[in-house]
Parts: sequence; structure tokens; C-alpha cells
Amino acid sequence: MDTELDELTLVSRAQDGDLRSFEQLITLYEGPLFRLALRMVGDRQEAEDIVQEALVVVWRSLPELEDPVAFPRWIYQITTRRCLNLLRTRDRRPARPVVDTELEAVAGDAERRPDGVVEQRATTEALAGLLATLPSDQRACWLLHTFHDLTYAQIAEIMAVGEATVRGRIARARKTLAEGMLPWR
Amino acid sequence: MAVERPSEPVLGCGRQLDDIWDNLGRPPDEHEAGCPDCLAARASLGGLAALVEDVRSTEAEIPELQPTERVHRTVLAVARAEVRRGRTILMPHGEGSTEPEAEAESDELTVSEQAIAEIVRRAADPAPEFRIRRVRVTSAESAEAPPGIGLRITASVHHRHAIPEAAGRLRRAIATAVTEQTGLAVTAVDIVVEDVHGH
Repeated sequence: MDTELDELTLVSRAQDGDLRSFEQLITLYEGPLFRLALRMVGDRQEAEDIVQEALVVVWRSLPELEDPVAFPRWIYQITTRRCLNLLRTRDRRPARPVVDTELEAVAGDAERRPDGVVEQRATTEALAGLLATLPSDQRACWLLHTFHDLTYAQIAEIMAVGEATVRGRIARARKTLAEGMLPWR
Repeated sequence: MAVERPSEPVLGCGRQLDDIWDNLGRPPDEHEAGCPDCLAARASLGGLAALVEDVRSTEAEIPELQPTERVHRTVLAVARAEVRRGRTILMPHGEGSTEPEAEAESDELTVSEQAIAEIVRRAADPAPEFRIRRVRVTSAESAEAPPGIGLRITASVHHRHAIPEAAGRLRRAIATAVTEQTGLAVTAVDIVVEDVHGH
């Protein structure tokens, strides 16, 4: 029966301290949050640390979340801001190209599952290479919108900017990414 | 600090890139069909959309794009160690069983609000009509108060059930379970329906 519970019910129960509901929320979100963090910071270990810390903050702060409907925006906000903070503190170091990690990921995957690997590798490689060309603010906005289905209004709250700014960032990200598509096709 | 221009990318022909993007799912409109700028933009944006779709449809299956179990395990361990029990409510002497989480403090038996919420959820979960969301104990302010509590419960209700009869059954089931397991009399069960499910 628990598996049929909708997300709002899970969030409400987790707010009341129900661990089983919180665990289901972890299961729902850890994958998407990890992929967001990985594509933002380009490092598996750092991405895992960010997601782990973010989920602990979520548990500790759940009672203060006034509207459970805001949960998805809130959990992405905590994760995204940690990614951006990490990138800011890292800016002295040479940027680690995002492409490395997703490439390694797919290369490792290729050894175990030969079927369809060529296409999978091409697409993942293409995406990772393209993402590396975007400024981090644009990358965050575009990923949240395109891979995590957040609205412009939600992303505006997450990034603490106006909706027009979000719209502009996503449009410019699309332009850069679309131009970068040519060599791939 | 750099000022970000809110203006959006525009093609040579004057069309905004966003408009091309929004129209991707449809055949080119009259202008697009005859405009080299628009056709080129449609081709590259279409390639981007296809790439995104490819990646989204496979990413959940690629082991390297999942976090290791460490994340799940660590977060859950922290949550367990910092479990929230809410207020504690004094149980009447010599009544009720000690499950699920009655704690002896000196000679007083108390039960936590969290434990009562768990009793409520367990009592209500077999009923298909309601999904219990939040549970609040509304009265039991002091140790001197009579050993009875009120409950305020928010819930989602199944769209095909008649609420009044089902709510009556739910109130009785909850009150019975709480009294059986804590010895506390339940003076009121307010059910606030805040959502409908099962569409």
C-alpha cells in the first residue's frame, strides 16, 4: 500500500517524522538529484557529497516547510545552490571538463552492456561535451527546466532571480547548445 | 557585477529562438517553411531535443548515472539518529499497553506525538477511502489535563467514496486504536480533507 502513496502524502508524513515515507522520498529523488549535481560539478564524488548533504538538510528542515507542494522546488533549490557554491569556491582551479565523468561513466558501462552502447555513448558524450560550454548559471537553469521539468517560476525562486532572467538564460543556453549540435549530427 | 541582458536570442529574420523551439513539435509554419534562418534553427534545435530525449529515456538505467548506495544509507542513518518525536503526552496510569513507544520517565509513562501519528496511520491505511497526511494532537497541554486527547488529521480522500460515512468509520477506527495502544481517551478526531486521489 505504501508504494501507492502520492508524493504530497509522503512529504506530509515525512514532516511528521515518518521514516518510511522519508525513505521513499530519498528513493524517488536521489537519482535525479545526483544526475543534476554530476552534470553541474562534473565529479562523481563531489556530486554524491552534495546530494547526501542536501538530503540531510531536507530531513532536518522538513518541519519548517510550510507548503508540501513546494517540496520539489525546495529540494532542487538546496541541491542547486550547493552545486553553484562549490563551483564558485573552485574557480581558482582549472575547470574539470564535465565530459570526463560522463565519458568514464559510459565507457565503464560499455564493458558490461555491449548492446546499444555505441548510440548511448554518442548521446551521453555529446550532451556532456555541450554542457561544458555553458556558464554555470545557464547550465543550472537549462538542466532544471529540461531534465527536471521545473517551471520558469520555480527556477526563478531557486536561482533567486526574476523569471525574465531565467527565460533569457534558458534561451541562450538553447542557442549555444543547438549551435554545438552541428558536429554531432 | 555584470548586468544580464534579459533579451533573448533572435534570428537574422527577426524570429525569437524560443518561438522556433515552441513550434518544434509541429510542422514548420508558413514563415519558417520559407526561411533559411528558421529552417536551420529548427534543424539544430530539433537535434538538441532529440538528444535530450535519448538521454532522458536511458539515464535511469545507466548504473554510472546513479549515486552509490552510500548516499541512501548515510542519509537514512542520520534521519534515524535524529528522529523527531514531537511533544510527549502523559499516559494514564495502569492502562493501555506499552507499545509502540511508551517510555518510562521516573514513574510516568509518556507517549510521543510521533508514536500517536504512527498509530493513526496504521489504523487508517487499510481503509481505501483516506490517505492520512499530517497528524496533530490538539489537546493534552499539561500533565494536569484529563487523560484525553483530540486529533487533527489532514487527509486525501478517494474520489469515489462518500465522505461522511467513511469519515465516521475512520474516526472510530482511529479512536479505538489510539485508546487500545496508549490508554488515552480520544475526545475528538477532526479530519480535514485537503486533496482527492484515485482519478
